[in-house]
Parts: sequence; C-alpha cells; structure tokens
Amino acid sequence: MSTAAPRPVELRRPAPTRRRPFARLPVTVTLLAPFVAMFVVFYVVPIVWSFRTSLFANRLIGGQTFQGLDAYSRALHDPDFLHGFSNVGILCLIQVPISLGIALALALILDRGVRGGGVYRLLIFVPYAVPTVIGGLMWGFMYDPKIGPVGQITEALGLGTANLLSQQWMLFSIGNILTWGGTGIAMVILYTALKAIPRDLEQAAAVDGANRWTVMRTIKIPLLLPSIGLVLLLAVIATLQLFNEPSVLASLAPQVIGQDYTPNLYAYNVAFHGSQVDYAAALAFVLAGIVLIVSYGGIAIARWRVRK
Amino acid sequence: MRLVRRRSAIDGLGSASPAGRALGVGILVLASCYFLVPLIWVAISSTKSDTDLINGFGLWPGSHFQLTSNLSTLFDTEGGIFGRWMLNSAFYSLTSAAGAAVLSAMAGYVLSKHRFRGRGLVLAATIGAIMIPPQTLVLPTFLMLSKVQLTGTPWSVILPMMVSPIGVFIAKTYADAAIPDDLLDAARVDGASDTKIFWTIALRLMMPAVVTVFLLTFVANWNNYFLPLVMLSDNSTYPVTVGLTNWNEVANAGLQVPYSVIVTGALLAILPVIAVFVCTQRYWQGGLTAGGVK
Repeated sequence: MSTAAPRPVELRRPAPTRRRPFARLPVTVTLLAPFVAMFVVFYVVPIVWSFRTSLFANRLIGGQTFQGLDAYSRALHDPDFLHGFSNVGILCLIQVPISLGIALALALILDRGVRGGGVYRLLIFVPYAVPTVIGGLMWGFMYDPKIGPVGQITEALGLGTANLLSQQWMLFSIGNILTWGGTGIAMVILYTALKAIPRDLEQAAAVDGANRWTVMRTIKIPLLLPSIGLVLLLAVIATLQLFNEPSVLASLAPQVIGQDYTPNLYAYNVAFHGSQVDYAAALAFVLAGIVLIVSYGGIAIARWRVRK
Repeated sequence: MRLVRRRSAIDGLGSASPAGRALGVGILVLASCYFLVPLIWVAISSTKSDTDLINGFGLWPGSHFQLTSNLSTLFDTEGGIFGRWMLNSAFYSLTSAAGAAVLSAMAGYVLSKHRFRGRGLVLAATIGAIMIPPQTLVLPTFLMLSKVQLTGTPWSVILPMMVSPIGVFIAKTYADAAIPDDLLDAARVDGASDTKIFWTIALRLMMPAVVTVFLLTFVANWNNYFLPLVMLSDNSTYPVTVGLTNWNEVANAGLQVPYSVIVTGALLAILPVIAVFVCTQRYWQGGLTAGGVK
C-alpha cells in the first residue's frame, strides 16, 4: 500500500472529446443534393417562373406586353373569383367545424376504450384512402335520383326527396363528401394525440373525484388543443383550395357548377379554357397568398394562446 | 364505509354508466355505417347490370349477379384502356414513392446527423414548404414544364411528386430519435466512410420512417387528380383517377360508357389503396407519431 501522499488531482479540464470533423462535405452534398436540386426545380422555380409570367400579358393582338401587377388588381376585383371564395368560405365556416367536431367526438369515444376499437378506427379511416375524385364520383352517383340510394332512403324515411345537386343543395352535398373523406384522418391524428396523454393525469383527477366529463373538459381537451389546431389548419388550407369534388360534379350539374365555383377551379379554367396564362398565374398567387395568410395567421394565434 | 372504490374511479377509464357506454358505441356504429355505406354501395353496384342499377334499391343486390360480366366489359371498353390506366397509376405511384423515399431518407439523415453551413436554411425552407399544399404548385409547375416541353410525359407527373418536404421532415425527426450519435462515432472510429455509414447503418435504423414516406407518397400519388389532369393530355397516359372521371363526364353527356362499367371501375380504382392501408397500418400510425404530432 502506498503511503506516499496522493498525487494532486489534475484540475485541468479534461481535453474535450475531439470529434473528428463531423462528416466530409462531399458526402453531405451527395446525399443532400438530389433532394435540394429537385426542391429548387419543383418548388422554387415554378413559383418564380409563375410570378414572372403573371407580369406579362400575352394577347393575340399586341403580343406580349409588360403589365406589372395589373393582373393582380384585376384578380382582386374579379366578381367570379370572389364568388368562388364565398363558396369555399362558407365551407370553411360550416363544414370544417362540423367535420372536426365529429372527429373529436369519435376520437374521445375511442380513446375511452371500446371493444373492437381498432375495427371502428379502420372503418372510419378507410374513406381517406379513397381518391377524392372517386369519392366525388361515388357520391355523385348516390345523389343521382335515378340510381342513387340517397333519394330512396330519404323517401323511405318520409323526408321526401330533394335534388341534392341543385343550386341550393350543392354546397351541402359537396360538404358531405368532404366530411365523408376527411373526418377519418382528423380522427386518427386526434386519437394519436389523446393516446399520448399520460394516464396518471386522468387517474389523479379521478381520485380527486372528477367524473369523466370534467376530465374531458379540463384535461383532455386543453392538452389536445395543439392537435386540434393542426387539424383545423390542414382542413382550412385544403378547403380553400377545393377543386376535385366540384370538378367531378360539374358534369352532373353543369348549370349549378359554373367555371368559377371555387377559386382553384376558376384559375384552372382561365388557364386552360380561357388561355390567359398570365391571369391564371396571378389568380393562383392570390389564392396561395390568402392560404399563406390564413396559415400563418392560424399559427400566430396558436403561439399567442400558448404563451398566455 | 366503502373500502373499495368503484373501479371506474380508480382507473378513470373502462367501465362507465351502461347508458354512457351504449351511447358511445351507438355513435361509433352510426359513424361507421356512414363511412362504410358508399363503399358498400360501390361493391354491390358493381354486381348489377344497368337496369338493376336504375330499378332496384341502391343497397340491395340486383336480380342477377353481374360482376364478372361488368368486369369483362370494363376491361374491354375502348380497347382495354382501363387496364392501361390502372397500370399507369401503379407505375407513377410506385416510381415516385420509391424516389421520394430515397430522396427523403438521404436528405433527412444529412439534416439530422451532419453539420454543414446552410443546414439551418435548408431545414427552414423544407419546413416552410410543408405548408404549401401541392395543389398550389400544379399550375406554376405546368407553366414551367411546358416551356421545356416535358408536359404530357409520365415524368411531369412522377418528378413533382418525388419532392416531399414532409417526407424529409419525417425522416429527419425519426433519424434524430432512432440513430444514436455514439453509434455513428464508433463506426467512424472503426474507419467506415460516411457513405458506407449511411447505406449500411443509418438506413436500416431509419426503415420505419422510409416505409412511411413510401406509403404516404404512394397513396398521395395514386389518389392524385389535379396534377395529372393538368399535365397529361393523351388518354393512354392517364392514371385511373383522371380516366375514370373522364368516362363519367362522357357518360353524363349521354354517350357510350354505361354506369355499371364506371361503378365497377370505381371499385377497382379504390381497392389497391385500401388494401395497402389496411395491410400496413402499424407503419404509418407509427410514422405519424414519430413525425411529431404534438
């Protein structure tokens, strides 16, 4: 046994673990380049190109002339364009909350635990797997008084028949298709978030005497707000850009669904049936701008609420 | 004195009042019926002839079982173009899904584990791009591609869908969580090159995320309507979404294609994706949680 005084401990800081230069740049570039290149080509360039296109009017008479932002002011004053916004706006204000409300209710019920819950979850989700146009096509058939069961069922229930493809019903009919196809994914997202809430919270509350309604109100829903916000945002963004369902139903009810039924439909028709590519580009930008404003507005509101 | 609390008070779940449970189950059953009815309708209608479609009750089988003859008419119409459409859908979807999966895995890994100048910028741009719905880019991309005369080709549909910012985000988030830095360091100490590290170690660890991205892109592509509608003009290049909708327009204009054929076509068009979803549930459900659904 050594009786010598212990050597004083080295007080110098241990040499930092020197990482080798983390990774060589060529490898980084090789792995990252494909995505970045494609991203630039298919995200950045089209946007820049489109913007440039919107600045030049191309007419049969007069050829190509620089028009600056004229197309944009024209877009903002275009009654057809604005009419489209009123349609999707109504859907956003009415259909989206209903769909989300249903998704939330279903997620809460399923989270509580039901026998065969997995089966229900699957069935509710399956419509999301159906392409939206095929869904529109199917519902178009089902609405059809000649061959669809919807009319038959409502008649049997004594509710009479209504032409679900008529002017007054069309938004409702489209809204129904959207709810049918979109509630599933919202439910799955909310359900996943619910499952992430620790059980201890509920149990603690239960021991304190809270019943399930209180638990739901004070624990689950507040913790769920970020996911609800996310789903809401996604739904609104998608609804503002609605194209597929009205496009499919247009052939069934051409007098109801005009070329301007939704903003996106209008932009498409302007480009391909009106051949005014510059104006279509401007329309697309205005629509994108509005979607961006709504998105960032939604995120800002969410952040502000969280900070409170 | 009650010594034992009711079970429901302890675990907070499970048993509730019987009426409450019944209500919950009732709502679930009702909802499931609502979501299921159109699919049942399509399946049953595919077995009917046109007359049965018009005359019978929508949700009840017809007088004759016509599925086989509907199927053969479906694949015969217009020179068998429906089969072509299905193949197109499969080709476009599989190719772009594979491309997206690979690109996203590589980019996600690099963003997660490598340090380089500009990393923050790329990450911010990618996340920002997630907010841009693909639809917004369709018309601009069309304008751009028509200048280089790529419109009308399969690439005009495949390439744009290979760029998946959300795929990169999913891959990166998963790599953050699933690949320990020490493992990479150890491999480097052992002398492995970074390339080898990626392909042999990292990629294997990232598999669930890669599969999720593959599935998401596959489904998004199969279900896509707007992009191929805008890009493609030749009937024989259409995916099944565009082709079938086209037939529907034609049928509503009173021309050749019978309703029974369209309905049967719709059934076939939705089966692959439903099958894929059902068979791969665990992957994308896991991927959603790993993707950071907070």
